[in-house]
Amino acid sequence: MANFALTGLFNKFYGVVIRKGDLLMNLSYRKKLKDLSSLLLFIAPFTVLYIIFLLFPLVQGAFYSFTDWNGISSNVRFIGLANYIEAFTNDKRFINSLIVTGKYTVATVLISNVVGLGLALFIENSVKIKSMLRTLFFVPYIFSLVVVGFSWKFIYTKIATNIYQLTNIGFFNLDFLGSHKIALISVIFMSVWHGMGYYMLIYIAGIQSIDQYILEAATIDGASGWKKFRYIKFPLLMPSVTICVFTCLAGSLKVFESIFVLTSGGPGYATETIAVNIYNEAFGSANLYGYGTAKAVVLALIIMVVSFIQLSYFKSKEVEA
Amino acid sequence: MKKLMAFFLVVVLLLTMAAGCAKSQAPVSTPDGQNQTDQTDSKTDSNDSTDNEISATITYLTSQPLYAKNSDAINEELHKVHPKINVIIEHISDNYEAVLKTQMASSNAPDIFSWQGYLAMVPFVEDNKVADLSNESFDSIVFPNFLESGKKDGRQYGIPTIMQSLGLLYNKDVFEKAGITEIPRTISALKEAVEKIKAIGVQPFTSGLKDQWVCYDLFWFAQTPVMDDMMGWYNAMNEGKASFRTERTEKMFELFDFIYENSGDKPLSSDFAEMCHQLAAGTAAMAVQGDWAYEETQKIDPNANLGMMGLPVSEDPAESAIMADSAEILFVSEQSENKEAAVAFIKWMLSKEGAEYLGSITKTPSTSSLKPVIELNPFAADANKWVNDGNKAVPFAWNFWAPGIMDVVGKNIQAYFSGSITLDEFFEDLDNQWAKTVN
Amino acid sequence: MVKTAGRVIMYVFLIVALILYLFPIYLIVINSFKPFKDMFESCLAFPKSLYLDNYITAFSSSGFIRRLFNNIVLTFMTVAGVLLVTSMAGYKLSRVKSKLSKFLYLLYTVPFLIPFYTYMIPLVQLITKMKLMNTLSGVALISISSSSFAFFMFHGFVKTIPVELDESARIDGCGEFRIYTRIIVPLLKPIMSSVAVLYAIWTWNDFLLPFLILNNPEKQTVTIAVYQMFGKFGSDWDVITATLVLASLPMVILYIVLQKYVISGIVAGAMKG
Repeated sequence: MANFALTGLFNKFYGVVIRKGDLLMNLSYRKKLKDLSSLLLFIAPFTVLYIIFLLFPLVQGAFYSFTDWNGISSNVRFIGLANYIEAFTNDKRFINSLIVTGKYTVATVLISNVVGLGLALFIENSVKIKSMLRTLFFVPYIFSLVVVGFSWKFIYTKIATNIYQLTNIGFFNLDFLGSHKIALISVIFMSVWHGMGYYMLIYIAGIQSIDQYILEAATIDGASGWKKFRYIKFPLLMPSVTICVFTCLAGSLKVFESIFVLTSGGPGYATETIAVNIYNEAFGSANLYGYGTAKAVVLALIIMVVSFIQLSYFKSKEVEA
Repeated sequence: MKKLMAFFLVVVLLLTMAAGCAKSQAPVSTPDGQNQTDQTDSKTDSNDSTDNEISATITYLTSQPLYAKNSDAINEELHKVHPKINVIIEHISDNYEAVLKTQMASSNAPDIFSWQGYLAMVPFVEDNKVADLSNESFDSIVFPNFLESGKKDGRQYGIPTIMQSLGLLYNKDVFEKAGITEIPRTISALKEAVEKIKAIGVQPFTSGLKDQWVCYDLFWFAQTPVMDDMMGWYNAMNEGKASFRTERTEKMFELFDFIYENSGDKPLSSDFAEMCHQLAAGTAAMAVQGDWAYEETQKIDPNANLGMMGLPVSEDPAESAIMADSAEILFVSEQSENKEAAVAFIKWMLSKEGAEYLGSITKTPSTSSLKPVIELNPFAADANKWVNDGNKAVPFAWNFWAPGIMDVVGKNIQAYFSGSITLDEFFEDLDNQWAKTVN
Repeated sequence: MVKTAGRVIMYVFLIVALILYLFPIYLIVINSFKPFKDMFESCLAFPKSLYLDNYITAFSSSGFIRRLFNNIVLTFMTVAGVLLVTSMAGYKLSRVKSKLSKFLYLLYTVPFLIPFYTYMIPLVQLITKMKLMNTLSGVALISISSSSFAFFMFHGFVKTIPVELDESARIDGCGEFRIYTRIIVPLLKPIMSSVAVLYAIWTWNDFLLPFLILNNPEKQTVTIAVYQMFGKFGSDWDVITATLVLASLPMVILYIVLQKYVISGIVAGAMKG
């Protein structure tokens, strides 16, 4: 039974029409068929779940982006590209959220990676306490974003004020979450704090995989520490950089939970990223679900394009050791 | 395979029926995560419901955090009258609309939920999401004028259950210390009071402006006390003939600026909780907020001497106003399979015993007309006295705002105070957003 | 001499950095041992005495143990499911080179690029239709369906296992499934442990998905409990800090005990993926 159905699938995929007789005779063909059926059997559980619980709702969601559905009503009206046009021509807030997301992403990606890499280099050198440092710097990453967001809210408001009262250091009296100039920086700081350990780990692994002989050879040739880093370590670390920047980029472009908990996009619109903006439009009292999903589709496209460019550019910079 | 499935279904069916006949109505939960409660309840409901013996487990999404906190005690009290109704009370703070909408869109709406009345409920009514309660004779247990907020085209959908008030909260001890003997009713009197408070080294206001909802609460005061006809304005707005900007709302921003300037170093970092704490501790003297602030003040000082007065909005003492309106307006989902139990529960909330019990938790007045005796918290008590003394009281403006405007107002107020938009932009944006939502 | 001095400075710098880095966690923990009033007066001070009431309140609040249990069940179901389905798919797709496998490989990258709330409402509608609302298995199925990260880890790891191993087993007459269980799975064990620990952490911490699917308090998880403590009208920071600690503690312990796997897992995921 199962094989029969699979033959059909196979035919469809390869565009081949075969008669029963051929099937029995053609041995290599039988092998291919067997390969395909075992492939399908092995991927079936994951793929079926993937299609049902991810692709299907996703396509449905994308469909809503062409409608004016409000998320409640049973009336769904098809309005073509109107939502998309609206988003780019008549939505200052969306444009603002694009800018905020851009700033957030650039800063988070840069700082997380520079600090993560720097820390990795330092830790790699600190032979005696290496594993302890590695373990502990990673700890923030295991907390959920909700927990992290609430904790930092507490720190930025209550604890900072308290430190100021005790020490009188002006820095702690800054309006971390209330000033539209500082709030985004506070958010970025929290994100870096939470995620940096992850990048640090990957960089440490990258450093460890570098062949020690190359470095020794460079030392013998009289290369300084910086030169060794710039011309040997860094190029060899490019694969790690590629993956870290990719992960950080995609994550930053769709950042939501931590900002939602920490500032809900405020004060005003100062920290309203695309995701927060979409959330507010689609689920806030605004009832614009169709419109919100249109913007989500735009966001998904942005992430895809940016990731693609980043990956192909960084890949081209990688060297073989 | 098919046989096995059929067998399984029969077993489940038998189990549910058995559970339905059993006395215990506690939710049946099995470790594997299968939830059979709903089926059980609907079965029982249709099988053996009589007037006093309605049996069901209903869900209730409330905007009143204290109900959820005291859920077990409320059930216990409810069982004295309806031994077989269990109510699962849920409260969520930030995601309320999102969760409610997602649940509704996927036919999982709670049996009872709280929402605003008047115009805010219209989308639900038009889409047939809420049950028509016109024949449940709520008018015999609720003051008829309160019921207006839950009516559309003469049909009753929402049932307001409590009264809430919003005004200028203040610490009476601080006022006394500062030598303020009479509460300020005009803006100039308020300014004098602020000088006196400053003189004793206390921060005059505490803002809570980090919370967006506190921001739109504040904006109500720019609008309602200085406007006579909300409904007329709403209609004119929809036709594009009116604006949020009037000479008087503009004038109110002078007052807001004054409040902001006197709210300490970081008014936009102060959230609702901090506002309550400062008020109770006496480190700040006043705040524009509602009687629901009481619970949070208790955590700092249960004996804080607090009160509420009207907010001065002009130089005319008679215009100084508090806002008072019905709230926790309850709707029964049209999809609900437990409507009867849901209605019975709401009726219990408004019965003399029920209202008295819930009142003992919230310490705010009930809309029940059965004269429940409730000890009010100091804010609610002052608000009550304010109204009874014949002072100006106005309704909540948000019931007359287009959907979605609330959030925009909140965010724009923050943006205005943080200096990222001007007052011109503020009003222009609100009007634009309104036009957008209505189209 | 200069070298040792440099070394000392570096150690000092690293340790100071570490202390500052973990300071926020320390603050949350000490505040969880204070009565609300003390906390309001000074968040920085060390607790005056060992005050455990916050923990007692948090722990005895209705259903905390129940929720803890739900979290454990959910985490187990998800991790087991993820391990099974993604290792199977990862293994086969890594072995078979065809247009179909390339296409599927690309298809599985979608979850990295799509924000969850894009399809949140349709997903909940679907779950309702399938009668999986309020079931832990529903949440687990959704989590498993989007576990592409695990897939890529297995896919990458299998590449390092010589194909000759499967080939010789196949010649010995081994069935495909037996090759997978007898030869591949044992070799995948280290990466499986890593995937398991990582997914345990992620599942444990997940908020929005369980929050949407599990309305019934009987079914909810600890992270939801944390979230619900933040009321609109003020928050019980004393009990909240205690709950934050309690909710995170199992994963911290898990991490400390199994850190080897977490670290190697992340590294492998990054390198092989």
